[in-house]
Amino acid sequence: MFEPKKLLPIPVVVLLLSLVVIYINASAGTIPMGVDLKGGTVLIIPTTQPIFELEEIIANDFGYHAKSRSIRDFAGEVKQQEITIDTVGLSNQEERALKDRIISEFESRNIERGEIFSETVSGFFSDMFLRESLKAVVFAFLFMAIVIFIKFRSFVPSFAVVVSAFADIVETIAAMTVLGIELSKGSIVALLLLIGYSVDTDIMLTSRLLKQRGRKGIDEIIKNSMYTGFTMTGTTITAMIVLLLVSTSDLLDSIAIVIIIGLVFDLLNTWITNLSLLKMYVEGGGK
Amino acid sequence: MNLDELWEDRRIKILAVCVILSLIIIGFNGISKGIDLEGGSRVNLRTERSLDTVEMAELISVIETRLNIFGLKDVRVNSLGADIVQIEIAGVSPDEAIDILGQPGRLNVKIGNTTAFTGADLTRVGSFGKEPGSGWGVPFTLSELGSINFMDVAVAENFKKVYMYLDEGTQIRVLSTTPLEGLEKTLSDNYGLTDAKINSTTGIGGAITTVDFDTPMSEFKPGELDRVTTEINTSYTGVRDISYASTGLVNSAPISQGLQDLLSAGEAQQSMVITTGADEESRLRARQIEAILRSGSLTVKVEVIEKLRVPPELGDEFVKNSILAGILGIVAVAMVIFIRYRDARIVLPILVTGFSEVIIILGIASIIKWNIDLPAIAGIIAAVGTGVDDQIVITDEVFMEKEKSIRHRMKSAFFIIMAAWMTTVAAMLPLLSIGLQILRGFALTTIIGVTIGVAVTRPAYASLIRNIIGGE
Repeated sequence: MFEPKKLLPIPVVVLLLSLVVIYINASAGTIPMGVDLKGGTVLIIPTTQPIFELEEIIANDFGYHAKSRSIRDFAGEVKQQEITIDTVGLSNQEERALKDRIISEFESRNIERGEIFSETVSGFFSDMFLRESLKAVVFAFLFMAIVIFIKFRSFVPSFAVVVSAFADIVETIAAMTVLGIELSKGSIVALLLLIGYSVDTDIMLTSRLLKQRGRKGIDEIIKNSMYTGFTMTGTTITAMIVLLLVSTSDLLDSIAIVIIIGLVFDLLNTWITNLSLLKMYVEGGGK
Repeated sequence: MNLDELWEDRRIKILAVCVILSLIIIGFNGISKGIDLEGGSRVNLRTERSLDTVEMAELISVIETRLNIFGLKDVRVNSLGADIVQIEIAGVSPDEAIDILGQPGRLNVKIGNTTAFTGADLTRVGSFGKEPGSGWGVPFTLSELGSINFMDVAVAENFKKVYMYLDEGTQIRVLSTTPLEGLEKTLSDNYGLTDAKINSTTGIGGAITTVDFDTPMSEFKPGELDRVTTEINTSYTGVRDISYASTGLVNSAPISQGLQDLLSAGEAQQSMVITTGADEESRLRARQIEAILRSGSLTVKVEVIEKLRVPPELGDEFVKNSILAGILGIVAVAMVIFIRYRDARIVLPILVTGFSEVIIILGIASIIKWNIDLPAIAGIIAAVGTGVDDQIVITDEVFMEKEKSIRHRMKSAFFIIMAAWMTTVAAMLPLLSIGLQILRGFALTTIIGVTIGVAVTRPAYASLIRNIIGGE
């Protein structure tokens, strides 16, 4: 028989490790962040032949730290070159000089390109974005927790749901840090989505266990709930994998990848963390 | 499955009506897309201090007017909170807008050909409003010196119309049989005029060459423009017509008889009103005049904090891609559900209700003129994803708890669904009140989506499933 309590050390260790990873990286300032949260300029050049030397050219001629990457479409063809410049507060003139330099480089090599476009975020805006996003995540979590406590009206089951939702978020952020996935508009939207998604299976499990016990064996309820829960998580992960493969939008891609990571952790936390706490409570005769 | 019985069901009717209404609304209203899906640019400006609603409205009006005067069409200017102004422009490079807003406008008000007052002489510009008896108007106040100058010029120019120029420049227009070669060099070598912008268009009957200077006519050396035109006339063959004029005229207004009488009597007026008339067009003109008078400088200092440009082609691609991702995503979800239940009768209702949900969300967006942008698409994905989860809960509750009454099974399913709905709405509510537009858009779409879900589509799905198992 599936005994979640025996496996409980796994999610506990994962959670502790995640907290350590976040703490170390946060204090060292090494949590990867996108331009939206850090400030800077992104130049996007529609072309099928990226010039990777542009990084060096920009560093030599302008003294900016530039990072280049190419963006591919669904079929794997390169469509754009994206150059990220960390320097915050480029003036319009500086940006134009930069664009002119890139244009001349493309022209001298006879490479075709579309019109260059750009996204600039000032330090003020990125600071505000980071601050407000953190606030949003904290409040979203608090409000969710309050609803859970009101809805279930008993401490241990509510606490179990909230703890596993908390673990989902923390572990996802830690995994993003380790994998180098940037915190950005998209990934923050995804973290907020995850708060809603990850509790769905916990609510289903908790409500069934609390209401059906007595009429049915606990193990049968758990088995049925796992069928339902795995289908729920399975459909969502499938949809997100499709989104990740098909979409060419950075925002939607980062949402998809973060939710996939988050839901994998949610499987761990719903079916081990939440379930073992809940099972101990129910078996202990809790009301 | 009994179709007659199904149609009798109130919940199915509600769903059908909602979907049909949404399709009609979308058909008539269309769906407005955000800059990231439509292409265009967005500039966010921060004011150096927080503004109250009146100040913010004035600032927005000044920005709109200036951008419009400079020929930027389809400009949307909105405030995001008390210190952020967002400008969205269809199709233009944001640099152009920033350049325009970056420098204060030079206001020059002339009577005939003489300057009556400039932005520096204005001590106050009131809000435009309806004056009793005389229609819409904009009150303003001049400094004492400015008012005396105004009176002198008005009298000397015999009360001609008042012309308002913003960023006045000078333009020389030459009509010739062939384009003028080397004019730029002539102007800079012989006259030291280096800031000329020369434009030539050749058409039937000859070429039109325009030479634009940012300098107002009054700042050229006396007689200089005459000498330039004479030189062009003599040194180029085929010049048929040549003239020069001021550019940057934005509005004009006559001097009223009452004011003429006062000024003739030597009574300089510091406070005056520019009136436009009583109709709707006059109201808009008054609004524009107010903005022009104010735009000598923006009322507060602004700083560019974010700018973004999305080419229209890329926006199109996003839309196509999102639709493709949506369809493929739903097909993939359908496959997972089929693998689990091995029953097409369950897959179909889940797909139908899922699609209905998307249509109703878009219908509501169309009614409230909500822009569908990338964050909104994320919200739709969230809502539909939650919807599928809920439908799985309903299905399993119905099939696994056969010993209970169907009513009881639905009650248990809806307890879970309502709890999930409440947590999602609770998690999204705080986002509505914070100053980040992207998160607000996402939160609002998600809330609308999941609420339609629990109110319309989930009950309808429950009826469908009930009908399917009716015989079992």
